[in-house]
Amino acid sequence: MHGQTDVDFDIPIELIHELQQIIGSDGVLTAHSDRMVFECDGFTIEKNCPDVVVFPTSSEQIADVIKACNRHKIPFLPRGAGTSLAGGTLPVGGGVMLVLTRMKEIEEISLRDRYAVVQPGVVNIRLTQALKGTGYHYAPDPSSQGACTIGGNVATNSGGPHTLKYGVTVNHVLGVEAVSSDGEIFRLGGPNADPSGLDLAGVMVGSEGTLAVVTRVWVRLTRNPEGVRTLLGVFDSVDDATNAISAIIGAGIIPAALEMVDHDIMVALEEAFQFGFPLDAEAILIIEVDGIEAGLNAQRDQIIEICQKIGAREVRQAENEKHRQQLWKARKQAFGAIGRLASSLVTQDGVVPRTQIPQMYKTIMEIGKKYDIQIVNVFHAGDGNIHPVMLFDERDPSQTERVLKAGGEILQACLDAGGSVTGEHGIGVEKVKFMKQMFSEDDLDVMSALRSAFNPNNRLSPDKMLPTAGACGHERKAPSKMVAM
Amino acid sequence: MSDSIYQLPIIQTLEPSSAEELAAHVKQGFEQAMAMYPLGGQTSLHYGLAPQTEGWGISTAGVSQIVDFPVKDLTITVGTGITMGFLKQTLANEGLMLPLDVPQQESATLGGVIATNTNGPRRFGLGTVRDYVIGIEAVNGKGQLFHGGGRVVKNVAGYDFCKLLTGSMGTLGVITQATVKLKPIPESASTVVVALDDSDIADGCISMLLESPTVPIAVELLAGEAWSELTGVSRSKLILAIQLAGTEVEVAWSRERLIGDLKRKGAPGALILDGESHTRLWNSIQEFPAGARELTIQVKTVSSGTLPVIEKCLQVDPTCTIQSDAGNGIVTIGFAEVPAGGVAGIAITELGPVASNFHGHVETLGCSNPEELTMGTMWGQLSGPQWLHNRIREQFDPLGLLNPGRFVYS
Repeated sequence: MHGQTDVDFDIPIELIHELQQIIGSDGVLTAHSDRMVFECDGFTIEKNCPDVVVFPTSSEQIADVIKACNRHKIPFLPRGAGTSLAGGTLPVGGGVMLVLTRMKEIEEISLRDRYAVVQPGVVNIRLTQALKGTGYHYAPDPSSQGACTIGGNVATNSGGPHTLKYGVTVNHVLGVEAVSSDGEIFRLGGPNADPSGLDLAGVMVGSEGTLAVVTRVWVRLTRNPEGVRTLLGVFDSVDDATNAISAIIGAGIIPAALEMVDHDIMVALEEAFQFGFPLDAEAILIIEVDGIEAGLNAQRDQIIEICQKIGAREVRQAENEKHRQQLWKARKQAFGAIGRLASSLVTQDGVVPRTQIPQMYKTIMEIGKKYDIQIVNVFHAGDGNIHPVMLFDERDPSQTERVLKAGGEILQACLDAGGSVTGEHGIGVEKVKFMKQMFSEDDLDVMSALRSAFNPNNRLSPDKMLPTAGACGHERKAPSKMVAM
Repeated sequence: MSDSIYQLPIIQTLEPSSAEELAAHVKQGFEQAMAMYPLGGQTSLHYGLAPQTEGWGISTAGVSQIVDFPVKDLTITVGTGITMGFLKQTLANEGLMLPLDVPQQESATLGGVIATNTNGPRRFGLGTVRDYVIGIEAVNGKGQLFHGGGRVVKNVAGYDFCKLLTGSMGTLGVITQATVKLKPIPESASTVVVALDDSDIADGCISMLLESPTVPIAVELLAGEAWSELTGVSRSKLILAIQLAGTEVEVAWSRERLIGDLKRKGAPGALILDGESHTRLWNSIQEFPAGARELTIQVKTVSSGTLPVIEKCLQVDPTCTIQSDAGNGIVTIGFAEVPAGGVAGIAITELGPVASNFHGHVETLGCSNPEELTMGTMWGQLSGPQWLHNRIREQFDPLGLLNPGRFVYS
């Protein structure tokens, strides 16, 4: 144990003792100073400290912890690396947090049958690193892949730049083992992709930890492409860049990745990585095609032609693998680099039909102007997944309020365009209020019914994802602070 | 095998013309505790246990309109009563496809395909139903019309009802509308076939194909006389058929590379099928699971399970016909006669252990005596706990009215 047990618990001391017995005392945090780290994830506007944090190392320990929580009627929730951007791991009602980062074994790799079995705390990039030299990789590559866990990816159905061609997490999950909300260990699916019965592994993906605690994952492995061409399209106007995106997809080309970065983000990236971005350009596109080497130059040339026709100033090609890796490193660490631009930032995660990116960009910038908030943009453009980043200073309450309003208006514009309020970050607590705008009362009622089948007492991850989820009486411990950090 | 075997105990068929009207019918059925059988093209009535309870047929024939087809977004939203044939033609007119390779496309509906999770040979390279459905609308057993997903290709808002309803056999809801992702039709497609008499060589060829830079989109291992005629290869124990697709340059390069690689793996003499012979072979493979015969069994394992399952089947009945998606380990076996030992003998005693050695299970796709089927011979070992299946059914259809007695609940 790391410190004295503090006195601000809402939970019985007997439970603490039981947890220490189950996990061992080096895996139970009770001191407030130790638990502080877990009061929020990548969504920092709302915070609440869990009452106890445990670090289980096996499914059996998780089952025992859950049974103990149930005996004492205390809520509990899982957490991976805490990189979620929507408050998916915020312990809204306090309670016990199960941090799964000590379950980090890659248990099996089968190249012949193209799957791997991993524990939930395996960091995403570790699996691809473990596969180096085999000719295979794990396809979902969220920008946080150096830190985020595969268990967390399963919870949020994470995307990433290369999901445009290869699909998101759910397309790569074959099965899961999980612990139910009453502490039973069960398995859904496995190495074989076709389940007998319902596709419940598919249902678990993206359920944000509200149905069961995932303790093991069977993931699909993807063959490395023979060749790759990575292009950097340089544009003097954002309109031209967004029009090029629409034109490429509309021409029936599905690149492996198609990303847009606007001028202000490019400047921050250049300061951070000195990649040699053209700082006088208004926007760049990162376009990658992969596949059979024999066909790649033709695809590349077709894309270059489309970009040039629309008015690209130039289209550069990554000279070699090192150069390509540098480009992707810069793109994937964009959010870190933006920290240089302002003291506070909030990122939105809307989706529009992909051909509507040009109009959506204009709408975003108009909304920024209306609320006098600087907005910079980095898009998973090929999927229609926008990430406008609002820059502000949280010490100014008026700015914070305007940021929240502008964010709401951007998401509403996505819905109006036939899109979604989240493409890959999840609903968490951040977007619960938008669920009623996106779904009907019946839709939400049926979602709630599904949750009840898995999690009837709603003691697992209460007050997440569904606006009705709080109905079981878990009051928020403290009013949300609505202070952006 | 006559169609009458598979008739459902339907006392009246309702044909609503909208999802709302369909929901009102189901609500009425719910209030009367009436059993209800969702009806699409009725091409998969043999899939599922024989139902006992009389009830209404709820047809989706009137819910078949194209709701939204933004061609350049590569998505389409349609009423699920649309036939796969009509959908295919509509998409092809724009150079697009939904590559699911479903049998009996002129009758089979999209709703039925989603409910039964029907997939074909191109699943190896292009994925399955669950990879394409991005938005769904359905009516649950209480008559509630509900939606999941949306019309955009990336979306994580709310629970994924698209996955829940795919393969749910219409037991959680009558699926009324779906949005699916589309792909451009490739410029060119071609087939490489080769005869194989040695299982070890066949297994070596499959391993090679999994790692090949040629990226085949279908890898089929076939056994039975009918296939020799279709492919034109000499009579042999097995035939390997590989489908390639892409630009003309890619296909030409891949073909040449594959023929050399196969030869190096001990499989010389590969032939190329193009044009009509290519189309005829893949149509036959696509239709095979739906063929009229005494018994059709499907073993769903992993790729390395393909040959052990085939060997076991040939041992039980050397005259059986086999079509397998060897890259995925999905083996479909047609028996002209039910083997001695009955359906349980082949599905549970003979194939059950082989399937479970390779992480799989055995299902019965069609049987001339449906009364003989049990939960075990029909669905094999469930891939999730029974209690969870039952609880979900209770939430979506508390009276158990949708397709009663046909699926996995107890």
